[in-house]
Formats: sequence, C-alpha cells, structure tokens
Amino acid sequence: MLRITRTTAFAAALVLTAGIGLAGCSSDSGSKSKYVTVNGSEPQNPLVPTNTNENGGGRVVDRLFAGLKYYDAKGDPHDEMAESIETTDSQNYTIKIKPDWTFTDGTPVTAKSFVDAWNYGALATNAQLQSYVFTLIQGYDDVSVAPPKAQTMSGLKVIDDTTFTVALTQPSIDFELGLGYAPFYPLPEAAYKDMKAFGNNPIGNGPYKFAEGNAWEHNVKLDVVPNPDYKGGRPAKNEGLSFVFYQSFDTAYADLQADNLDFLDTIPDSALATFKQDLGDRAIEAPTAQDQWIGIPANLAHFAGEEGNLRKQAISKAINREQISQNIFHGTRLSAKDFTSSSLPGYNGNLLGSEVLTYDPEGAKKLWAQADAISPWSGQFQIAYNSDGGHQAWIEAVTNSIKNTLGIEAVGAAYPTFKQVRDEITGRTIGKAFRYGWQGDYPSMLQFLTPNFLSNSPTNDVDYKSPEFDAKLNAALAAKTPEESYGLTAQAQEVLLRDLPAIPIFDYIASAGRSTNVTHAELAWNGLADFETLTK
Amino acid sequence: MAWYIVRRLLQMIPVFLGATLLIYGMVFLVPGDPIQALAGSKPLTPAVADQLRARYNLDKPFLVQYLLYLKGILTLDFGTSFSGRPVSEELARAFPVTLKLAIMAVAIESVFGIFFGVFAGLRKGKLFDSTLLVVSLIIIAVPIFVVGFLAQFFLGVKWGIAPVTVGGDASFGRLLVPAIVLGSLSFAYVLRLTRNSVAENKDADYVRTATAKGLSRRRVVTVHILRNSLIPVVTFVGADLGALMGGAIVTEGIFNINGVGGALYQAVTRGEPPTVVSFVTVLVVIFLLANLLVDLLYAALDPRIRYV
Repeated sequence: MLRITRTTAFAAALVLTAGIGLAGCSSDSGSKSKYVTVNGSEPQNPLVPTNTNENGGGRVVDRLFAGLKYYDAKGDPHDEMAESIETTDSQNYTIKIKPDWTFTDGTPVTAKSFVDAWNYGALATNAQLQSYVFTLIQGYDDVSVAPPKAQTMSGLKVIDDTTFTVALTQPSIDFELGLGYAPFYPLPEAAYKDMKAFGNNPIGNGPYKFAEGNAWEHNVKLDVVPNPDYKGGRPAKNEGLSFVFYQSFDTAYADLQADNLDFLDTIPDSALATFKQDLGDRAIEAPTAQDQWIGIPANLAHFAGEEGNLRKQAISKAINREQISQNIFHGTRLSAKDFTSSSLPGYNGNLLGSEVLTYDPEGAKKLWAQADAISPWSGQFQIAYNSDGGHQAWIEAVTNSIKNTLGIEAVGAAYPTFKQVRDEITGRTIGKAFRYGWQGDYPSMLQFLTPNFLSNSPTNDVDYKSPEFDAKLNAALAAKTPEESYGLTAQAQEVLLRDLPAIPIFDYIASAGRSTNVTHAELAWNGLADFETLTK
Repeated sequence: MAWYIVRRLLQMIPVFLGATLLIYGMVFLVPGDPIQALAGSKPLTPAVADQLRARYNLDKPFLVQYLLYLKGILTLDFGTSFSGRPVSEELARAFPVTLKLAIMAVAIESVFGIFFGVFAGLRKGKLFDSTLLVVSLIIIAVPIFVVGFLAQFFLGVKWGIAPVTVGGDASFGRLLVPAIVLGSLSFAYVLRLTRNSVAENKDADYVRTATAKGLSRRRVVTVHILRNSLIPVVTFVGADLGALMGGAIVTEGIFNINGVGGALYQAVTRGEPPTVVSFVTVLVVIFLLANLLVDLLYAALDPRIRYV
C-alpha cells in the first residue's frame, strides 16, 4: 500500500510539473508578435470620437482618426489635415483642408466630413458624451436641447469640398488649439447608417486602422495596423499596436517584467519604490498634464471674504507638498506651482504670488491667526475624497500637515466611490473641502482654466465668480497669437493665486516602462505613450 | 427520484425572483448617479444626460425598472451595458472562462485533497499526518492574493516556467497555475475534512468486519472507508464550486483572466444594474444546481439516503 501511494504521489507530482512546463511553452508563443503590445482597457463606449471620453477608448480613437491638427509628444500642435486655419478675430474661422485624403473605405475626406461629424456630436438626441466641446460654436444652444430646435449648428458652413467656415459665439484662441482633440475628428458617410456597428469597427483616416480578422476581442485586446493611405505628420513607425486590456496595473507590470508586454504607461503604486531598480534604463518618466487640487466651495463656513482668503492661504502654506510627494509617491508628483501643468506649452513656474503654494509653517500660522482675529475658527476642516482612487494616503498626509502646522482638527472624509463624491460636488451639497483634479484633453493651459474657474462654466465646481479673472481669461482667449495668450493667461492665473478658489497640490509625473524588445519608447504630454513612434 | 428533481428545479423559481429583486435593489440603492459618473469630471449636457437615463431606464421608479428587466429576461434579453453591448454577449464570453477555471480548481482540490487526506487519516498521529496538518494550516492562513502574487512572480516572472498572465488565451495550460492558486485554500479544507472523516471511520465496526472477512486492505480502504467518509467532503466541494466562481475575482485579477470577476467588478463600480444582476443571477443558479448535484450524490454514496 505504502509503495503504491508513493508511486501515485510521484506520478501526480510529475503530471503537475509537466502541466506547468507545458503551460510555460505555450506562453512563449504569445510574445513573438510583431505588434508592439501596450497596455489598455476595454473602451467604455463604442469607438465614436464624439462619444469617447475616457482614455481606454481615447488611446485607440486617436490612432484611427486624423483631425485638423495633431499634437506631438511635447504637446506642440501641428497641422494634420488642415491646409490653413485663418481668422482675423479669433471668432470667425475659415478652414481649408488638404485634398486627396481618404478614409480607409476609400471615400474622400471632405469639409462635409468634418461639419457633419461635429453636428452629429452636438445634437442632443444622439446623446454623445462629448457634446459639450461644441459649446462655443454658434447654434449649439439650438441643437443641444431635447427636443432640438435645429438639426445642425448655424455656425458651421461648408463652402466647397475642401473649405468650411466656423463662427463662434465669442472669440477663443483655444478653439484652434483644441482642433486636434478627438471630438473634432471627421466621420465617413458610412458611419451615419449604423453608428453602433461603426463604433465596433470604425473607418478612419488616421495613422492606423483595425487589423484584419478579429481585431477587437472584447475585454481582451484590440489590434491596429498602419494605414498605408495616411498622409499626415505622425505616420506609424511600427508594424502595428496591440492594446492588451488589463484589470490591474500590478498584473500588467508583471507582464512587462517578463517581456510579455512592450510598454506600460502606468507603474502600479506597489512598484513605485522599486521600478527604477527593476527596469534600469527601461524606466521612463515625464511630467504630464494632470493636476490634483483641493477645492473649497464658495459657501463653506469661514471661507468667504477676507477671512476665507486668509484661511485658504494659510492652509496652502501649511501643506508640505515636497515631502508628501517624496514619502508617498516616491517623487512621481511635482509640487504645483500654478493651476495648469508644467508639460504644457507656455507654462511659467514663476508666477507672481506662486509662493503661496510653497510650504511656510510660520507664515501659515500668522495668516491663520489674522483670520481668527476676524472670526474665531471652530469645528473641523474636512477634505472629501473617493476611496476607490488611491487618494487616501496623500489626503491623510495633507490633513496631517495642516493639523501639525495650524493646530486645528483636519481630517479626510472618505466616500466609497468617485460617483458618490461627484454627485455631492455637482449638487453643491458636499459642505466640505474636496479633492478634485483635471486632466487636459488637449495641450492647452486655457483648457485647465476655462472649464474650472470661469464664472459661467457648468463645471466650475467651486462656484468661483470673479469679474476680474473672467475679463483677463477672456482677453487671453481673444489673443491673436499663442505667445500673446500665454502672457495674458499668466495674468489671469495671478488673480487665481491671489483668490485661491482651489488649492493646487500636485502635477503628475507619468512613470512608465518598456520591455527589452522595444528600442524606442517615449511618453507624450498626456502621460500616454507616443504610440506612433514606438519601435521594436 | 425524477419527481424530486422537478420539485427542486421548481423551487429555484422563487429563489431566482428573490435574488434578482434583492440584487437589483442593492445596485439601485448604491449612492451616486451612474450617468454623471460616465462623464467623470467633464461637463455633461443636461439633454444628453436625460437621453442616457431614459435609454437605460434609470429615469423610472425602482419597481418599473425591475419589472422591465424581468420582462427582458423572459425574452432572453438581458439588457445592454453602458458600452452599448448586450449583456448576454458578455455573459456568454465571461462564464465559460470562469467555469473552466473553477472546475479545474475543484478537480485539483478534490483529487489532491482526498488523496492526501485518506493517506493522513489512515496514519493518524504519525509524522506524515502532523506534517500535512501544519502544511494545511499554513495554506489556510495565507491570503489567496499572496499565494497568487508569489506564484506569478516566481513561476512566471523570475523563472519563466509558467505564463505570467492568461489574457485572451484561456487554454488548459495557461489556466493551470491560476487554478492551483484558486484551489489551494479549498485543497487544505478538503484535506482536513477527508482526514478527519477517514480517521474516524477506520476504527468503525463495519471496517473491522470487512477486514475480518478477509478483504484486501485496498478494497477496505477504497470501498468501505473512503465511500463512507466522502459525504462531508462532497458537501463542501459542491458548495465550493459556486463559491469559487464568485470568489475567483482576486485570482482573475492577478492573472488577468477575462472572466466573471473582472466583468462583475467593472459593472458594480459603474453601477450598471442589468449587468450586475444578470451575472449574480447566473451565479446563484449555478450555486443552486451544484447543491442539487450534491444532494443527488448523497444518495449514490449512502444507500440509506433515498429521494422520493
């Protein structure tokens, strides 16, 4: 009996080992693909540019379509399909596109392809998530209500096959800067027949197209290959991309270390301390256009008027950003110096009044005491955050920093989910300070300031209303050249630094890694790979 | 027997209705507006938000939403997810993968658990038995994600003898390590259940009788001791199949297996009632079926149990 059992046990062990060995063999075959494998996540919506608002879908849409402009890795805009974009007042634009471009189904890309796509995106009954980006175009108010008062926007006019005009409701230099953003991509005729089917198998004009066969395996991967008909300035330098969908960055990181994944744009928190050692020169870091702020609602007790201003400055100066970034994020956050991001064109890290964002415990105490002289402080200072986004550690560090410096009770208030905290912020019922942030849709400082702080913006979560700021920001929007706009933007930001409607905390530094198979990999301004130039 | 099975199947209908209602209610009660969450911190035109709410029936009162969902199920329409894909497609994709993983895990835990359990039970108190006791204690004490990450790191990343992740290719070979990880905890339980049961039964009167009759040791162990010791084990393993399918979420996450766990997690965080309810309901049905199977196995194992 004993012998039999031992033999059987041995046999069982053998089977098991063989099984693992077998599995090992099969794993090798997967990684020899000629495509560069990059991490991704299942797109949350069909791949229609005006309906894609998260970067799982966005990173694919940007490969499949070409707009009037594109942004290089540094965030500088270049003409892609635009031959010329002319305006004398930053309000009325005449746009000429390059002729001879085609979609991958062979149909030509014309002025109408753009105008129809924008009208489709804006029309309320099409329920496109990105519909708001057309807000500035004349006639948007008529198409964005249900039921719509018009089917198309009056500000868009097709002149001929390669020319169309755009009329805005107010001057905005940012409109031109944003023309490389996904919702402004053109759509082929074929799309309107069945938008759902189109979103599953898009026909574009970008540097890539869907691979042959089963390109998109839902929840698994999506393959794209270079589009030979692409004529723009960012042609694919690889033989194709395979977006592999991961449920967690930890898993993706394990695959990266084993060379099964060629590029990972986010190193998981658990590996931040060690990834530079693990990867050596394959570790990649670059600042990215994403910010973290602490918003202070305008109606919060003790935070209005002169008293509120002193308290906000005191709190800002009480936060040791440098130390928190080192201790919690291993240097993958930059202390904020303004309300935009250091990776954006025109950024200036030395604005007048930016010292309010540096750690100064003595100054903070003094300001707090001055505020107490106006009206004594009572109660707790709470910062609401969503606990499903990895924010707990740094919010606790921030509240500790405030507590230790100012000697007041400061605590984090955890909300289980992002949507819960958003609900209370948009409903104005939150009643405490809150964590929020902004990620640039396109590389423009104005795109950080306009939606968040302009008085009439629907996403002005802190209800900041300053005629002075509005005037300066509108002047920056009406500027004739980007350079002129940078100077005016700086002036507008100086008003923000004085009023502190929100307290900027960090800019993000993207940490990424490449496999040993990859010879060139770069991070773009938005923290994603510069996909077209990945080579292996 | 057939009548018994029909009765049990009929009992599933109220359980099914109750489960869907409860789960739908829970998803409904999760605070936060899922449509607002779709927009993130970006603005959402009010008209667009209203359209989307209407499309997913989120603008209707709870009971109406639930009844519409039930009506859909009767016509085999499980609703659509926010990505616009039918939930049934998602079910058809995710369940086979997880079912395969869970069955592999159950097979591994039963084969090895019963095998070593019998061996340990027959040698109660000896060195082998004590060693297994300690080993199983360690396995029970270590959380599954630790086992998972260690297996992934050493077998996959460091030594390269097993695939690091499974991804789209859910073949037997690639699922083997995740199945071992998933089954490890239950392996320890099966081992200890079998061991105790066998240790108890081996001194029973009928075993002595069997031995006295001159039956071979092997026949005594397999037919007389083992068969009678298996009832608690079968109960556990049967319930475990359902538990493993629902509980595979951690293992699936670690090895990037595109199964039920990941799909369910995403649906819960996005607050999509049709997807969550459909997935959980199928899990409930599988659990019920597994229990029925266990009850039928009782009869096969113990002649005293008869179903009428």
